[in-house]
Amino acid sequence: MARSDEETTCAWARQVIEAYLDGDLTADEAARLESHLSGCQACAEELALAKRLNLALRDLPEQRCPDRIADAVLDRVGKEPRAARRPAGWYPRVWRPAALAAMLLLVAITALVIKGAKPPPPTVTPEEIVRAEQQVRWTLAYVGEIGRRSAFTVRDDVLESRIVHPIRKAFSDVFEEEPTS
Amino acid sequence: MRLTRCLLAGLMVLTVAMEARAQGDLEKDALRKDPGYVDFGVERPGGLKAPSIEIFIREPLLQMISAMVGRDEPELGKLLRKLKLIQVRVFRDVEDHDRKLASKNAASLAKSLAKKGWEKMVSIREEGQTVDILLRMRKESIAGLAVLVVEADQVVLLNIVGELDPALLGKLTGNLGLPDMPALKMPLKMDPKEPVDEAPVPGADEPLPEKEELDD
Repeated sequence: MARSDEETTCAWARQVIEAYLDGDLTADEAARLESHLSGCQACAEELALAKRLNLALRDLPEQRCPDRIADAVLDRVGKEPRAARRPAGWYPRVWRPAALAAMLLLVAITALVIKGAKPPPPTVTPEEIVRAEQQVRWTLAYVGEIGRRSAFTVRDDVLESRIVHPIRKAFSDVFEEEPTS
Repeated sequence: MRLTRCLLAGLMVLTVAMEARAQGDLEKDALRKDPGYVDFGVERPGGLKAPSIEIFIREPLLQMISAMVGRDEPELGKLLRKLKLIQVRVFRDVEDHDRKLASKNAASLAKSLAKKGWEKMVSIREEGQTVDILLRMRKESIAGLAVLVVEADQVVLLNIVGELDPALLGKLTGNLGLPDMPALKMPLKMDPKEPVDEAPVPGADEPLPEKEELDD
């Protein structure tokens, strides 16, 4: 297992050596690589080779672009429509704030949609539903019991004013309106 | 560019979280503003400590129960479908001093509800018992029911919020038997095996009392 871990680490190290030389690794990754290199001769030699290659590449003389290629490129650029050619720096200056505004608008619309949407139903267990059902039944039964109890003791004045009196008045109005022969 | 993306992602997450929280607050506010709702947390008869039994069933759970019972008991399912909240608080082992205070304050509570538009259907003031049944009307339908009971050793505060059909409610409350609820101590000694009497229930479509009961 140790040998396999070492091989894995060496494989990783060889993958990131170029990025290390370019300065693209994070501090943690660089520290990890350096720690490995201090104990691995093979990988240290790989790093040294990579460094020599980079220096050698830098020391190569700069090649001049052949005239025929440069002419062909300039000829092609000259034929493009004027609108297609934008000054350098225009694209990021306009696009970035526009994208930001579009994202903010999207967030605002999303918020409005969420606000208008109904919340999802709560997660309850079947046992909770059964228990709640029993509580509902009890509540309704209690209302019924109180209603039955109180039906026989309705306030006299309520009974008198809202039932008896209107009925008596209705009867008296009917009999008073009867024509006399 | 990476920083912009991170900022935007964070902004979106924050917005969603704020909206989720606001939605929960919105629900509570909507319930509080419902005319059929009684806030027992604020309007609780004085002298009472924490309730012995508390029931608080909101609309989503009521809908589930409605769907569950609706197949075998369509009328009960129909009644529950239109409800928004059932809340009950039972205060047991109330001492005499606290009961008297609670009775007095329950009367005040009924009075304050009446000022807010609740109609007092039943009001009983007897030695050892105070009962108030109030209805909150909204246009032609019932928006809420409140039952305030102060008895010898307990106080019951009950509120049903939602569109109630009085005839259906009267029929169902008269026919429902009490389930076994070991977790819920029943305040009334009601034997579910006893036959249900045919006594009229306030709000139900029942004939008027006999003439001899009206004479002095």
